[in-house]
Amino acid sequence: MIKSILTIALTGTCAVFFMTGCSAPKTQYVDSDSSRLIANVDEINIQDFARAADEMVQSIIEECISTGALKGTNGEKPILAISRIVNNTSTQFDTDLLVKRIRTELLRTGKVLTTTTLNLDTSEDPLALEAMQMEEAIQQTRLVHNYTLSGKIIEVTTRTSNLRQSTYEFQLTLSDRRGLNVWEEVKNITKQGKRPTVGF
Amino acid sequence: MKTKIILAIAALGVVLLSPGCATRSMNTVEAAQPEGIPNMIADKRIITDPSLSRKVYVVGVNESVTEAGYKKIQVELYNRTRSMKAFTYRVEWFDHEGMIISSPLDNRTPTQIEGGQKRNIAVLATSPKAVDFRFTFLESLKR
Repeated sequence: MIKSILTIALTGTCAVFFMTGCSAPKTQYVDSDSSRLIANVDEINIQDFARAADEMVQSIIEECISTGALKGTNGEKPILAISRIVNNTSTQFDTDLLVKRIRTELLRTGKVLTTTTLNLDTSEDPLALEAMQMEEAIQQTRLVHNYTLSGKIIEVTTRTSNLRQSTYEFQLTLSDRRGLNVWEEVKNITKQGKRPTVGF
Repeated sequence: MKTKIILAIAALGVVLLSPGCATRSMNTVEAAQPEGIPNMIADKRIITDPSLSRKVYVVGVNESVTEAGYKKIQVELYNRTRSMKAFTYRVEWFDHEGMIISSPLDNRTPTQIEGGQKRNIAVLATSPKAVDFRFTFLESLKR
C-alpha cells in the first residue's frame, strides 16, 4: 500500500517537473543593452552600432561641444545636417542604426540643432520640408546648415582554418561650410569566432 | 609502490597539461614621477564575483569635469593574475535627484585585459546633468 502511494507520488512529482519544463517559453525578451544578445562575426550586430555610436558621441562632445568649437549663424545654435554615410561592408543595413543614435544624443545635449529637412537625398519629413519652404518664401531667408556629418563603415575580414575575424571600422567626419573638417574619428570593432554565438 | 606510480602519473599530467594552460603576462614601464595628478575619488564596491574582481581589480577611480560641465570618469583596472580575462562593462549615469539618465547609446561594452596589465577605461557622460555614476563589470559569456 505504502509502496503504491510512494510510486504515485513520485510519478506525480516527475510529471509536474516535466510539465514545468515543457511550459518554458521558447521566446524571451532580452534587454537591448544585455550581454546575452546574439553576436556573430559576419555582420554588425545591434550592440555594435550602439557601442560605435556611443564612442563617437563621446568624442564629439569632448572635442567639439564641450569646447564650444561648434558655432551657429548669428550666435544661434549650430545646425547639423547628415550627409552621406557609406556602407562598405558585405552586409546590407540601414545606416540610420548608427546615425540616428548619434543625432538623438547630440540633440539631447542642447548645444546642437539637427534637421529632418536638410538631407542629402530625400527629406526625412516631407511635411516639415514643405513648411520650411513656405517659411523661407515668406521671410525671404534660407535655412542653411553649419555642419555636415559624413562617414563610411568598412569591413576587413581575415580567416584561418578554424577561426574568422571581422573588423568593422567606423569613420565619421564633421565638416563646416568651407569644407574643412572640424572633427574626425575612427573606431574599430573587431570580432573573432567560429559560428554565431550568444553574448560577448 | 602504488603511491609512487600515482605520484609519477600526477606529475606527468601536470607537465603535459601546463603548456595547454600557458599564461602570459604583460610587462609595463611608465614615468616614475607622473606629471598628471588624477583627482581620485572615494568609491563604494559591491563584489559578488570574487574571481572576476581578482582579474579585473579596480585600483581606483578618478574624475574630471569638462569646460561645458560634462563629467568624465576614469577607472584604473589591474589584472592581478597571469591570464587574460574577457569582460564587459557598463556605465550608468544619474542626475542631481538620483534619477537614471537613459540614452539610446546604452550598451555593455566588451573588452579584455591581459595578465598583469594595467588599463584605464575613461567614459564621458553624454549629458551635463550627469553627476553620479555606477560602473558594472561582468564576466563575458563562455563561447
